[in-house]
Amino acid sequence: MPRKSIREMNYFERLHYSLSTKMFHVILNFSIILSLVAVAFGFYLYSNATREQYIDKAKSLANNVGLALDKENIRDYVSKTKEIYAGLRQDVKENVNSSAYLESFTSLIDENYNDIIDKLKEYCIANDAGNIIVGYEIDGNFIFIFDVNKEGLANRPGYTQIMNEEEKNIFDSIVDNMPVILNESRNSYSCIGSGNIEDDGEVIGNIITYFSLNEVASLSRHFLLQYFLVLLIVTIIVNILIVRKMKKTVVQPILDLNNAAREYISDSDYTKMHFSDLKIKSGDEIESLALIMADMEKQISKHVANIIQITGEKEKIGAELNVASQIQEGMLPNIFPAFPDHMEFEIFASMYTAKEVGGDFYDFFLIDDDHLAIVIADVSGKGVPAALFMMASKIVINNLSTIGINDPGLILQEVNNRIVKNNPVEMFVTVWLGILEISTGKLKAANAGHEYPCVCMNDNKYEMIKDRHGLVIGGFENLKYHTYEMQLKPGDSFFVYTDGVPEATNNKNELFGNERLLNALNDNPNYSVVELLDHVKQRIDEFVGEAPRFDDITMLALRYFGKETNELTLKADIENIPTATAFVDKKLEALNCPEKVQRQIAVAIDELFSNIAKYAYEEEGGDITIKVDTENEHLVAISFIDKGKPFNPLENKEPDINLNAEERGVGGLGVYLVKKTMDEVKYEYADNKNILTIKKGF
Amino acid sequence: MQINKTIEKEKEVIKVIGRLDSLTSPELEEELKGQLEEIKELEFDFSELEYISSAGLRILLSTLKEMNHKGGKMYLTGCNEMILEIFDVTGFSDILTINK
Repeated sequence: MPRKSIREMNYFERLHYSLSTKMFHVILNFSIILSLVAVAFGFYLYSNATREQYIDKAKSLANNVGLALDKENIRDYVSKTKEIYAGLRQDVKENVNSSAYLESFTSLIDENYNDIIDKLKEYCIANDAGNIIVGYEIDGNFIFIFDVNKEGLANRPGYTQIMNEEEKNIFDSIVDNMPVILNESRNSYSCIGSGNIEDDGEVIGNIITYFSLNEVASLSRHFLLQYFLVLLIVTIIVNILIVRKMKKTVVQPILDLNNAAREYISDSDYTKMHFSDLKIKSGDEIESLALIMADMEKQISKHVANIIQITGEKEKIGAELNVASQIQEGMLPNIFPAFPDHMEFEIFASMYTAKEVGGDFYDFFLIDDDHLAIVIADVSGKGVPAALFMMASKIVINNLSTIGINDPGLILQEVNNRIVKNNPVEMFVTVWLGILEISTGKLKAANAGHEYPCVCMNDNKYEMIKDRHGLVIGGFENLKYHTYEMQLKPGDSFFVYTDGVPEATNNKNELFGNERLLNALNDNPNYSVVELLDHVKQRIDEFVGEAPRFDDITMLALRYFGKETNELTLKADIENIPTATAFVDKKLEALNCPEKVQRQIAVAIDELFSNIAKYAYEEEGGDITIKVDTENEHLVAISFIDKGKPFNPLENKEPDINLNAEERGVGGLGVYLVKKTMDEVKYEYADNKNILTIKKGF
Repeated sequence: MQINKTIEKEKEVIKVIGRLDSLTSPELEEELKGQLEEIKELEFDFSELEYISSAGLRILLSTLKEMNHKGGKMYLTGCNEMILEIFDVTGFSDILTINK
């Protein structure tokens, strides 16, 4: 499971990160261990010292007593004791310390004996000794001669200590002048020291001094307890003080940092300072960390402010670009049909920009009643600079085209000179400029480094005209541009475009190219100009697919119908139906004919034109003339005239429209449809011509 | 004219955009030829069709017959007023299923 972020943790989940608790535990444990060690060691030292002291005391008391006693007396008492012991009856001897046994030694007590007792008693009191015993070993048993405590006689003379193996060992050590500490029973300790009474190097008796250590042991236990308690209290107090100090100097700053960091991540307002307000003066790494965090916070805040500002500016620029784009679009003629009053031609243009504002543009405008200027251009570069340059170029071309020179080469020459003079950033623009004489179909054109135009003049097929290119506009002054002429016949058309068309690129990095462009145009050269541009765009889109688009795509097409006329003669081929329809549509549009009627008429044209194309001529083919007569604003008559064999389609049997699907055919349906949707359908054969006329009011 | 096809299991939707006339009908015919074997339900979406002429009607009729023969369904949607009128005039309204 992934670890939770601090944001997601509740108070209790965060609690085991509390530094002060952690530190308190560590220090407390540590100091308890330290106290225990100190108590144990202290006790060891103390009890050792006490032991030594008592051992010394017992030893020196025994020695002193040994020196102080009168040796002759002792020798006397010892020999008397030996005698008494030897003279004991066997039964009494075996019954050690019985009253009879002890009674036997009473004879030892005399005046001198009591003096010695008093003397030993004084020693006892002076040295705070338990007992002082003077005795002698007989038959492995120790017989007391004098046994004195602070009160006086402790045991009567003759009291015998029968020694087992262990006691014998102890006794031997005592005799060897090595005092021992005896643990007589649990919690009862005593110290025994010894000394010999010697006379001329002969041991005449043994002295044993006895100190009870019980009091000492209890004292040391007491001391141990007090020592431990004091140590514990001191430890706890010191511990609390240390933790407090640490809390103040270490934990609190870290907590402050921690809180500041938590506030920082939970606060969405990046301008608010959290670390900078901290007052950490610990003078160590924590203070340094706080300072670094404060610095970091300021930097982030600065960056965020920067980003906000940049974003705002970006949005502003975006909005401005949007407006700029609208202005740019507004500069291009974009109301179609553009010249509803001019039946002699139809024109359509479209532009698809890759960025908000682009450098491509097209333009067309009437110079006078009989001259139409057509411009397509592409400014180097993209974006705002290209758009600005495009605006300037468009205005200059427009201005210079309308002063009546009517020679595209000369116009471009003048345009170039003007633009070169005011071109500090050395941008340039490619331009194709054509001027159409509307009444005659004569097209004069000049090309300043622009793409080759495609024209559909002969064989009803678009071809690329490799016209003579001049240099791009904006480069050098006083360049000459060659004007060339083409004669458009009714039905001819041309297509101009920018490099975005042939250079449209697909995912495989292939270019759309001129060949694909010509193929797209020739898919149906008789498309109306609107259909033609839509079709080419569709082909480009199919080709490019999902690949990104980098360049503007701008196209313009013009079809010439000839001097305003109500007749159009076309080859009897169903391919020409769109041309016929476009021709009639243009007339109908001028009459503000409703769309529905236009469509009904389009269906009628389709039916009648295709009939003639299929049946009127044999192999050799022929022409169809479409004649549009406007009887009044709300009634139009359209005649279809062919020179084929005489044939009246209206005489054909009408189809039975009530049959079910299985029995139905489609023969005669077209003419029947025309009859039903038109107001009047008339046939006549005159002048070797079939003339079929339809009339429709609206 | 533009033709968009969507096939979902046994149902096919053919959307015809533009004009269905003498020039464009062969394109639709080509599109349909031999393509309907698996199809049990065929919808013609005419919502973006401007008009239809007898050439288009001929295809609708032959397709209808084909669908009828194999017991499939065929219907039209989104027809504009002018197209509906053509169906009325030619009696096609009676044999076609036209959904509003």
